Amino acid sequence: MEKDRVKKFRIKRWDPERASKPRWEEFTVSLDPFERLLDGLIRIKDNLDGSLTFRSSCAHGMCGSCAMKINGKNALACQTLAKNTPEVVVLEPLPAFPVIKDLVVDMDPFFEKIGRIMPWLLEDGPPPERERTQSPEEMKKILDAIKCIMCGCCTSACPVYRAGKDLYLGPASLVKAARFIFDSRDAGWEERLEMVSGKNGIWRCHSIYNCYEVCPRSIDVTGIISRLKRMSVKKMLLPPRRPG
Amino acid sequence: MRYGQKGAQVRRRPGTGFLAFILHRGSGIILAFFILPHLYMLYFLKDPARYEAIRGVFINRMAVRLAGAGLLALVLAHGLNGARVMLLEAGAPSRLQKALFVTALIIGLLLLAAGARLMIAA
Amino acid sequence: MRNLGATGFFLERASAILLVFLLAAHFIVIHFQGAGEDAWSHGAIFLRLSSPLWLVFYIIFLSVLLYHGFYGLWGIAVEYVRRVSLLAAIRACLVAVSLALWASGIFILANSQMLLANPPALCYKCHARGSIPSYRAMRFFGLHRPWQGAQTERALENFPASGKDVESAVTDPRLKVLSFTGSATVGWGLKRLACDK
Repeated sequence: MEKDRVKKFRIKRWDPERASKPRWEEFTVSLDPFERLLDGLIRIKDNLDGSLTFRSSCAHGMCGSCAMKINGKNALACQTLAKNTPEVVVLEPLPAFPVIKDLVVDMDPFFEKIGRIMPWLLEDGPPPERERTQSPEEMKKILDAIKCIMCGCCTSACPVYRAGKDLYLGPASLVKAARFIFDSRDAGWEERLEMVSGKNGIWRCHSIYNCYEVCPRSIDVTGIISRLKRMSVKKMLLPPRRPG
Repeated sequence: MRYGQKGAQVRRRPGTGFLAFILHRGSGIILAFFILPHLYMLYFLKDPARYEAIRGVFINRMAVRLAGAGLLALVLAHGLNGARVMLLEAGAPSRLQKALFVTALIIGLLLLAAGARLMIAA
Repeated sequence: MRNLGATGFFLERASAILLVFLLAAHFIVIHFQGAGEDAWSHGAIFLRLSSPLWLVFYIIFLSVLLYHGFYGLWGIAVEYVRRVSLLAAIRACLVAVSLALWASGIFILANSQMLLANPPALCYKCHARGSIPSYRAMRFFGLHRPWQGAQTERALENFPASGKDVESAVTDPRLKVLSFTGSATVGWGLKRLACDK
C-alpha cells in the first residue's frame, strides 16, 4: 500500500432491523487518485466486509443510485474522485430519507412526490403521424431540467423538506414538473402548475440554495423553482395565456 | 464547471443560503412578536402622564438604546435579505446568491453603523 | 379558490416593498432625531396624529405590517405541521390575533382623535430643549407655542419648547399644571416662574 494512496473510509452503518441506532465503522483502502469513492466502496465490500450495503448501478453519474452524504455534503460516490477528498472520507446515507441498511435509503417517499406532478407528456388532440418535433429554441427552455437523474441529492439536502418530514414536494419533484411545464409539446402545463402552486409546492422554497450547491448534474435547481414561481404569479396576474 | 468536483471538500459549516434563511426567519419571528409590546405601550397614549412615565423608564438608558439598535439590526437583516431573495426570485442568476448576500451584509452593516450612531448618541 | 398560493406569495412581496418605505419613514421620524427622545413624546405623537396624512400613514403601516408578519408566521406553520386539524387551529389563532392587534391599533388611533377633538383637561408638559428637530419643525409651522392659540383653550399637550417659549407657557395663567424633566437649575427656575400657581 502506497502511503499517499491510503484512504480511511468512515462509514455510518445501520441495520434498523437489528440495531436500535447506527454505528461508525472505519475501513482502510488504497485508492488511485483518479479512482472514484465508489471504487473504494466496492473494494471494501469485495475484500474487507461483504455485509456493507450500498446502491450502485451505472457507476458513471447517469443513474443516481450511489447518492450519499460524502464528507457532509450530498453527492454521487461514482463522481467523487479520490484525489478531491481528504485522507478520511466520511460516508453517511442521504439524510431525510428512511434508512433501509447502511448507505441504502428508502426512496419511495421521493418517487411518490415525483409521481404527483404527473411526469409524463399530457396531450390534447389526436397523436401525430410522426414524432412530436421541437425547435432548438424550445428545447433550450427545458435543457437544464432534462439533465435530472433523480438521485435525490437536492431533496435530501433541503432544510424545508427535512423540517416538514416530507410535507414539501421537494426540489427534484419541482424540477421534474418544470421539465414538462416548460416543454412546448406538453398540454398539461396548467394542471401541473396548479399542482406545484399548492400549499406544499413552490411557495415552500425559500431560496436556500442547498439543492443548487449539491446537484451532481449542476442543474440550476433553485433558479428553476424561481422560474415556476414567476410563471405562477404571472398566471395569477394575467390569465389565461401560457406565460414563457 | 462544477461537474465532477462535487463533494470534493469537507463542508460541515452551513451554506450561505441556509445562514441567510435562518437569519431571515429568526428576525421575522422576533419582529412579528415585537408588534404586541409596541402596541401595548402606545395604548397608554390615552393617559399622557402615564405614557410619559413609561417613556421616562426608556429615555436615557444605554441598554434601551442598544436594544433599539438591535431592533434596527433585525429590521435591516430581514429587509435586505428579503430584497436579495426577491431579486433572485425575479431572475437574478443563482451563481450570484453568495455575492448578493455579501453585498446585503455590507450595506446592512453600513446602514446599521449610521443608524445606531444616531440612536445611541445622546 | 384557485391559486391562492400565488396570491399570498405576491402579496407578501408587495407588502414587503411597501414596508421598506413605511419602516424607513418610521425609523427616520422616531429614532434618528437627536437622542430619539422627543419625536415620540406624547406631544410630538399627538401633533403628528392631528394631521390626517399621518393618520392614514399609521393605518396603512399597521395593516401592512400585520399582514406581512402574520402571513409569514402562517408560512412557517405550514412547513412544520402535518396534522390538518392542528394547522386549521393555528390559522384560526393567527387570524384572530392579527385582527385583534389591528383592532387595538385602530382603537389607539381612534382614541387619540377623540382626545384631540375633546381634551379632558388643560395640561402642558414642556421640554426645555431648544435644539431638537421636532421643536424646530413645530416652530416652522408656528406651532411652538400651542397654549397661545385660541383653539387650545382646553388642549391636552406635551410639547418640547425652548427657554423663551417655556417662560411664556409657565407664566400663562391658563396653564394649571406643570411637570418637568431636566436639570435641577432649570426645574427650580421654572418653579419660581410658576410660583403663583
